[in-house]
Amino acid sequence: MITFRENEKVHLIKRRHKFVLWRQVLPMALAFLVIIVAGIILMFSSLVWPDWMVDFLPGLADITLKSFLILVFSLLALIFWVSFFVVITVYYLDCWIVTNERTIHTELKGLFDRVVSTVQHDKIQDITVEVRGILPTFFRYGDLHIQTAGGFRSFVFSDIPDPQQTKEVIFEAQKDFLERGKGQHQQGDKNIIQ
Amino acid sequence: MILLIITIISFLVILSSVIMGLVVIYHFNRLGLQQDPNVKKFLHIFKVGGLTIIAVTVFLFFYIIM
Repeated sequence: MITFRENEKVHLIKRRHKFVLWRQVLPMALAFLVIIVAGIILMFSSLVWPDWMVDFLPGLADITLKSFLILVFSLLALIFWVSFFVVITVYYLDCWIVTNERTIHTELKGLFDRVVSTVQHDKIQDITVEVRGILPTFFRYGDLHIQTAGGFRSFVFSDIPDPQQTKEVIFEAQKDFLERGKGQHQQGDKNIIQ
Repeated sequence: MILLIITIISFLVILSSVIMGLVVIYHFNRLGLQQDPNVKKFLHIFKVGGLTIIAVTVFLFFYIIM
């Protein structure tokens, strides 16, 4: 769980573009539907093991081919069902949060592997937006790279919708943060002088 | 022999699915997102669907074994 600092306000929460999620989820959903339909069709069919298979593995005679195939299909359906929800969970929990003080990235690389990285706004040196390819241009999504001071690890917002607008929000938050910081410094100087 | 292989594969698939399902629920719990209505609906569909498929699989497994 991310703990926000006192007076820290969230400006923006970004996840990958929905098209990217659909691209991953749709084949799984289609495979799941095909398995379910095939299982239902199998229920009304009468299949028997080929003779050569029964000769090769005599134990097969104890099991009907129909029930065996339906079991295999239900196991496959279970695998696809869980994978479908794991992909959605990873999509949902993998996000970038821009606050008035910093940018946070919570990354779920797998179900047992998560990384939370943050960059203070005063460490940001430059922001690059990259929209490459036909689909990203058409659906308006792309990558946003944050270059930080001191060779800090690269901070990349991958496949986010409206990267240009996000860039503006980060720049605005950075400007506010630096102005507030400068104000506090000036206040500090005045106190020293007095 | 064939029944043993079917039993082992079915057991492993069901066990790993249950573990993955619990981890998905854990992640949402950990972040305190379960109160969100959309997440609630999502997890409800996930649990009900998953348990139904597991029940069907277990039923078919015993149907084959018996």
